[in-house]
Amino acid sequence: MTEIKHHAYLFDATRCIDCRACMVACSVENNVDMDKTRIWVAGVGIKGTYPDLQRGTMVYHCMHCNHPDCMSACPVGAYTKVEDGPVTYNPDLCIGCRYCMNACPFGVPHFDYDKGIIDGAFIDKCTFCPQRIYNGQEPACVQTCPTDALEYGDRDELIKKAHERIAAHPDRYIDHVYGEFENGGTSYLILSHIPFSALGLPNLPETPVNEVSEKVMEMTIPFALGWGAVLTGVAAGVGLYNKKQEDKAAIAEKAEAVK
Amino acid sequence: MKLNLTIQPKLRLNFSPLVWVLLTLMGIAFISAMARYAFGIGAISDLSYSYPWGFWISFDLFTGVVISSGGFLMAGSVYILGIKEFQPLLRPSVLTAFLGYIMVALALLVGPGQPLRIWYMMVHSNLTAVSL
Repeated sequence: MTEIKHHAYLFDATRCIDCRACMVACSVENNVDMDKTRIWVAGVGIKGTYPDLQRGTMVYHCMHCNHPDCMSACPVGAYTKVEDGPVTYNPDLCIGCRYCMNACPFGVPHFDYDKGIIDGAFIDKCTFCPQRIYNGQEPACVQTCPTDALEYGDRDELIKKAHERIAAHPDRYIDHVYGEFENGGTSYLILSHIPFSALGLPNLPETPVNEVSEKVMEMTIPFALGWGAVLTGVAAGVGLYNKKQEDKAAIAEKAEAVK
Repeated sequence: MKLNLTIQPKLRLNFSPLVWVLLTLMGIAFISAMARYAFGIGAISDLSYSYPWGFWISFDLFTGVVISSGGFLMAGSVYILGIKEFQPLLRPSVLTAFLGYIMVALALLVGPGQPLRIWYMMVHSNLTAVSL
């Protein structure tokens, strides 16, 4: 296997047969309950009339965005974007505020709604199987996929591969690789034969949302300090003015008394 | 006029009916908060993966903050703008604001999955976070 600079997945919706083996493999590998699986498979049903039937299935898990919104929103910095692809979550820092769930455009992070204060409720999401990919193995979901609908490799190579596949079968695919530019690029690339919105994927701009929001949020502390300075100035000015007025009144009173 | 100072005050519970309604609500809220700490947020709310925040945040948190705005306004008027005529209103409004923020803090401790770690926001601050 060639050296991988940026780990990524490629999902081909035309190849997925909705067997859900990836869900099982993920839960077994990462020891997650099956009802809280980190992968979820959504079938959009069969469309069209016989013999032109079309069936769409989508395997969702963390998109491992290049500019993750969850990382931007997390108030304690529990998320980190690793240089070579994965977006990791650190449960030791998490306070369970669920901000990442609000921020993620794909609705990826899941939360333990049934855990009390003793167990502690955490976020759960795809980790990109670091125990496997850094030991030369494919992630569990990719390895188990019987139809190669999920593939794993270097991001640039997978993008090239996806475009080659589109060029080879232009009648089969929509001429777009979802995740190449969406939200600043993701490490989960998707090829599809039906519109991406039908697969439940949001229509995202190429500029990541957090790039805009962080520009504003960076101003919070300077703005707070500046506003404090302005108010201090106002208070000092008003105090001086009042003092002057009082002094004037006192002088006038004295003059009155002298008369 | 001479006051009769021999009367000792007794503990009386003749609240108006509305206060009893509010006390009942407080009791229910306390019980549900305890249920949340024991069995998780799912036990007392209908939050889902798609809607991780709900009525909770918008009501509990923001009503407390809004009540407190009066305190800021009064303190600003008296201490910064120097309007001394408002001095008598200052203390009650600042007290109300304080109670409002206590409400916010109590509501905030019910929400997160790890309420004991709430101070992490101070120590491990992510300065570009939207919640800052």
